[in-house]
Amino acid sequence: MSGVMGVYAPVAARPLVATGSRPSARRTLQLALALIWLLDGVLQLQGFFFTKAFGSQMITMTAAGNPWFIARPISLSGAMIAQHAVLADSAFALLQIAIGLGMAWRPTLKAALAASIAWSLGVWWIGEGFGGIFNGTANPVNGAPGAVILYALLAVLLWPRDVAVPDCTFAASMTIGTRGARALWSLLWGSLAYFAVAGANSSAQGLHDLITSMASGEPAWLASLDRDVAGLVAHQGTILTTSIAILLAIVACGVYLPRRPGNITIGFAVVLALLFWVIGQNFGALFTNSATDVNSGPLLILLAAAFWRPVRRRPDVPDAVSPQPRGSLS
Amino acid sequence: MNMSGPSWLAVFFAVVMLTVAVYSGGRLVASRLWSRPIRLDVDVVHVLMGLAMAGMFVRALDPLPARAWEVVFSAVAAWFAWRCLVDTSGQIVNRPRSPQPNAASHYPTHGVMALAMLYMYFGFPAQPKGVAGATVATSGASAATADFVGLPLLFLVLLLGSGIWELDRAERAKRAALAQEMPETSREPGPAVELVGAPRQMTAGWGPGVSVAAAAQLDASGHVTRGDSCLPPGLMTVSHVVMCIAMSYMLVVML
Repeated sequence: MSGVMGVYAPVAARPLVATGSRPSARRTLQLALALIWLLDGVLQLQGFFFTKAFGSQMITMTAAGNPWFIARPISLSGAMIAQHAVLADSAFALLQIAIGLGMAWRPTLKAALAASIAWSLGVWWIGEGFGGIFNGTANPVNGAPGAVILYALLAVLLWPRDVAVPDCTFAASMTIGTRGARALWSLLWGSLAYFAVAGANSSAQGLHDLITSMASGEPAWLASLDRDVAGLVAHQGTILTTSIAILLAIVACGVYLPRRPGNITIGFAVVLALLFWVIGQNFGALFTNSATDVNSGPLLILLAAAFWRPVRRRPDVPDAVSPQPRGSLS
Repeated sequence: MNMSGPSWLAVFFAVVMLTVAVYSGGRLVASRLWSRPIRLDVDVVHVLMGLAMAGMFVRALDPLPARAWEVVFSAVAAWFAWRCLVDTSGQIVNRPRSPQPNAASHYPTHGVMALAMLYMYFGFPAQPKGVAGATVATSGASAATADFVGLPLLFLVLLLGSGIWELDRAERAKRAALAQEMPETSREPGPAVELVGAPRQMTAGWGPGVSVAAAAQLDASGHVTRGDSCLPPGLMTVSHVVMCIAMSYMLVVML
């Protein structure tokens, strides 16, 4: 064999120009979303999900407290999944892995994004009971309004466009325009602000109880962190959740501010999402062997990145003006 | 709660890993017999990892004891660390870089894979052959690693990220070849970020004359193989992605 270890043999081998290039900012966001989907697919292969308990306990549990027309399909689906646990979970895992890989491979990007939207909406209902927004348990600290709806939102915002949108100033605005993207951002973060103080969430012990309940099944160091933080916020729930709601409302309005202050509010959004993910979601409960996804923290951060406004006016090259075949890029 | 994975899934992954090992071994043989260009270190590492992971999934398939694998993957990790160092220092002193255009990501990626293998060997308590179901994939992590979850999570993200990146990069390389084929006049005006500005000398021999069929022969790193190559470049990417997913599954079980 010619050539040394780690080096191509010289026979008919030439480097090509594009291999050193990097994907656009928008494509990078799509790849990040693909990574999360792939991770979700691998998480779905954990042993617990191949047992009846996945359907009969985890799925059915989300029906509790919801109106009958929401709860009934959840219960039926939970029973069906429990009956065919291996088949159902294999299909779920395979689909999520396929979505992740499909987003990474450009020719199947649109199909994968479309599938992710359909799957997310289904899981938002059946798997998450609409994130608890109809039964009064929604709390942004532990992932409301449901991580899975954020996948659908990101798929819409990162949908590839063949025609350039003239007024786009950030990556998320390239599909539906700046106005539409800002409206979606405000709706999301505004709803988070509302849910932060809705119902029992704003009670003096609400935050304490929520964090304490997360410790079960976690590694010792994380359970200890939960207990420590819960101790700190004990009886401070009302003032803390009100403060969180105010910050979330500022973030919701921040996209309408000029670039620099707007980006500062995007920074707030990232910090809040990180806090929620670590304290309120325990890293998506990844270490409990029963996590189906990473929860909302990383998705909110990804969303924030899509709304970050860079210094230059045009953050990205519209898909249609790149030299690649029309209609098939990113 | 059942913390482990089902045994049939472990067998499935073991078969897939053996397939990857056989394919990578086949590439090594084919490259020697027909002087085909390959990336030697990657194919050797894929053979080793394929065999080792098949043995992790189904212990009866493990050809070497865990201690031997630990030595092997320590050496592999050291090799890729060394290659990273050489590549990085070459950049600092402005020496010519590795001829591999994606060396910057290829060396650390495979170094991380080797470290992940080491973590799995250290994290999984050694079991004698013949113990029913005694594999990483069916029995989970040892007590020593049960609370040590940051590292496997990091490995998990890096490995899956590597698989995603590799898939995208292979397609980018292919598109770049097709774009090179397009006549200058047919290129629409605008900031063609992925192509314009590339050094012309790098495109020598890859102007308008290149055919679509030949462009399809690009491998994942953007190198060109002979048009009649028996080593499909896309399969190399698939092998890498499959290996990343299998390794991630093992790490998830160990979380």
